[in-house]
Amino acid sequence: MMNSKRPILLVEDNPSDAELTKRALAKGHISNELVIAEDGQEALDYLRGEGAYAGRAISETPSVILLDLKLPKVSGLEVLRAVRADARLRRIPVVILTSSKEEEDVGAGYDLGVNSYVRKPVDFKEFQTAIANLGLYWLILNEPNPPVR
Amino acid sequence: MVLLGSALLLILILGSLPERSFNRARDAEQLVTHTLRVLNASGSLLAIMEGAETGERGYLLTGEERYLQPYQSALSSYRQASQNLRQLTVNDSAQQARMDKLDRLVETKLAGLSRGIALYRSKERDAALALVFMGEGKLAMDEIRGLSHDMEQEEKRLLIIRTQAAVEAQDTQLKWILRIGGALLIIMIAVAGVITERVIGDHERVAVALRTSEERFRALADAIPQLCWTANADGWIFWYNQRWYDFTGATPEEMEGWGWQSVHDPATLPTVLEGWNKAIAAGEPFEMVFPLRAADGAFHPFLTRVMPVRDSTGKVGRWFGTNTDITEQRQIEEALAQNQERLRMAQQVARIGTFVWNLQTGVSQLTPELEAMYGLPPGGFAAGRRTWQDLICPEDRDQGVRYVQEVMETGSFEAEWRVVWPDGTTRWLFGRAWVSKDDTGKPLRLMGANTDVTERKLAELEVSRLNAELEQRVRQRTLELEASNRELEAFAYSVSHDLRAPLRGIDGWSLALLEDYSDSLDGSGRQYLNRVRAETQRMGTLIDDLLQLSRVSRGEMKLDQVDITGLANLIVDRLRDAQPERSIEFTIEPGLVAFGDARLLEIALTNLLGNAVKFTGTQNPALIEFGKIEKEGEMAFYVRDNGAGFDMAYAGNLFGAFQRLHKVTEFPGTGIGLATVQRIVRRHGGRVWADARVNRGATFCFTLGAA
Repeated sequence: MMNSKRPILLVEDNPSDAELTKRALAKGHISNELVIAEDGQEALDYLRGEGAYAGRAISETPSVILLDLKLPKVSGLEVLRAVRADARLRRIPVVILTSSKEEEDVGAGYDLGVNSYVRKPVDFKEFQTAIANLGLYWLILNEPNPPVR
Repeated sequence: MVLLGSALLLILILGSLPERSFNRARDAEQLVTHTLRVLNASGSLLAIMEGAETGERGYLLTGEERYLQPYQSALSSYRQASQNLRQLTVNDSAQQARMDKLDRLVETKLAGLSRGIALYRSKERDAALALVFMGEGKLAMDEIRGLSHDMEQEEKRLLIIRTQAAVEAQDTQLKWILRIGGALLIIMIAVAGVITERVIGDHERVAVALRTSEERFRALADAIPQLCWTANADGWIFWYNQRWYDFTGATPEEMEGWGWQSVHDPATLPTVLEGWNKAIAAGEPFEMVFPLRAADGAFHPFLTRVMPVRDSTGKVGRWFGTNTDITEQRQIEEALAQNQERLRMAQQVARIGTFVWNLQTGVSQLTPELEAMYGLPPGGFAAGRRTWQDLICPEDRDQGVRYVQEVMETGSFEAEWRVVWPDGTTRWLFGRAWVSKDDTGKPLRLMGANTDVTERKLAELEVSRLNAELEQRVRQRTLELEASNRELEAFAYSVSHDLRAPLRGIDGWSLALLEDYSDSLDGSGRQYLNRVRAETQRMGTLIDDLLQLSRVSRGEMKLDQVDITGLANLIVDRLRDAQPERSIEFTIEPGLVAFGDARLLEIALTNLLGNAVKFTGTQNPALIEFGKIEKEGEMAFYVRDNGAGFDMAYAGNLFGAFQRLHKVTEFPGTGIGLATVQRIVRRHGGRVWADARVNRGATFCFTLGAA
């Protein structure tokens, strides 16, 4: 299970949410490294090995990207678009994890090729369950994509 | 000549005879003379009768008394002529018998004639004319002619017999002489007879021709629409056509000669008389317009023309005059003048200027109104030798020239253009023009009308300016509205995303506290943290509901046929799944269809059915019904339950946002659901209302305007 050791990229600008997500993952016994990008640009830099992440081996793709939509600088949907447009990145599973359940956002996410769309519930217990399920599904049940060569 | 020669020869022979012979010859001569006298008397008798008949016929046809004159004289002269003939034939009983018969026939004939005249006088004109045309009179006349002829033949026969007898008694020499003489006499008489007959025949033919021509003339004269008359050389009018009498209502006796003056207007009569007398004196044609009085007393204007009729020597023999009633013509002239005046006034009042441009001569006729429109005084066009193009505003000039070129081809045009007055004022004119062409298509005249439309044009320009401004304002407002809509969207998005994030944090960290530091907290502390979590989640629901309320007010509606029964069943399934422990009996009317936005209807029905589920929480079993009923003449959908119901006294607050009729501890809720339902129903053009009683359930009805 090579895949299960690859990091999870969490794109989330709210530190409280980031911490809670980390906590939820931990509660769900998901031990993969959690990389947190606080805006869309940082997420893209990490994925492309640019900027602050210059030199990072980009073949080391995250096992899954947990993507918030409302982000500073580059929005979540823009990040998704860029990932799907990039031949090196397009096979990474992307799960939108957001507060919005606006139909337009959901539709736009799927149009851009998101793998899953999860709305963060206010009730943390529900949120914790959702995160645990996500980890279980994307990191364990789902057959990982072969890396792009 | 032969006749004269024979007569001389006879006289010579007779003169050379001895006395006895002479006596005999004288007897023979007397016989001949007698015979001639009889023939003559018979002829004149016939002529009298024919005159009487012709006169009577003329009278019956024309009604003119003067035709009766030959008839009147016939009555007296016939007696004398008859007496004469009777005496001449006194010794001849056969001729006397014929005379008796002739007298009777004549009497019958005359009686017939007087009967016709009497009928005519008693206004039985048709009956009188019928007598003429029935031919009764002609038959009698033919008999008279036949009898007269018989008498003449008899006399001629007698003459021969008598001469023969005289000859018989003479010696041979004398016999021969007498024979020759007798023969000559017979020839003479025969020739005389022939001549007499020919003369009489010619006379008759001329009379007939004259009569025919006269009748034709009268028919013609009566048929023409004019009054007409004929006068002698001295101006004595002896005949008028029937129209004269019809028009004036006067009688021939009143009108004869100079009697016509009585139907003249005394004011104009002296001038008429002066002119007429002058014309008579000079023998020149006369023409004048003067009034004549009609039978009803009204004067009509007449155009009178009189022509002299000259004989072969050039002398005026008669005058022929016509009077033409020009009342109508006068009326037409007056009406025309009035119309022209009215047209002029109308153009003045309506400020219409017109022109006619004769393309052949280049001469234009313009009204002063037209010139005023171009800022010119009356006659200004001609005086300034200005052309139309010169006066048009330079910007419109080329177009104006094109209009004129176009109109020559197309025949008409309609356009607006600006003119610049000499004082610099710019005015807007509207013009129509059209070309009249001859049969070959060659343009003859360009005619047209202009009106000053400056005020209208300025108003139009103002209107279009205002419209443009309005459109600009609408665009502006639309942009503003769109911007504010976007803002609202962004706001809703923020509410959805940013307000929920801290709630999640509060909940999450409260839970973390409970999980990780449960031992440090006592029961109350844990209780408080649970309260914090419950309120946080309530806040989350409130935000979701508010978002929904805002969402149903925004966005376009997609109207379509909606299977509302199917929709209700779908929602019911969801509700059952959400609370599987509840025992609820749903009754959904099958086959219901609504016309509306499916997404919005789903939200409304979810709220209504969800409420029903919620408020029947204490009922077992809970009964919830969805269907369609007729309410106050319109079809309404309804959701009925057997739940808690409510007091209708508070029904007014039912559909306001955040309005609740129940305590949260009894039934949870945010008070936004029914506000959302009402907004959806109203967006469909319908209405929603409720009927309920405390603990007896509630019924919510709604209509969809277009459904």
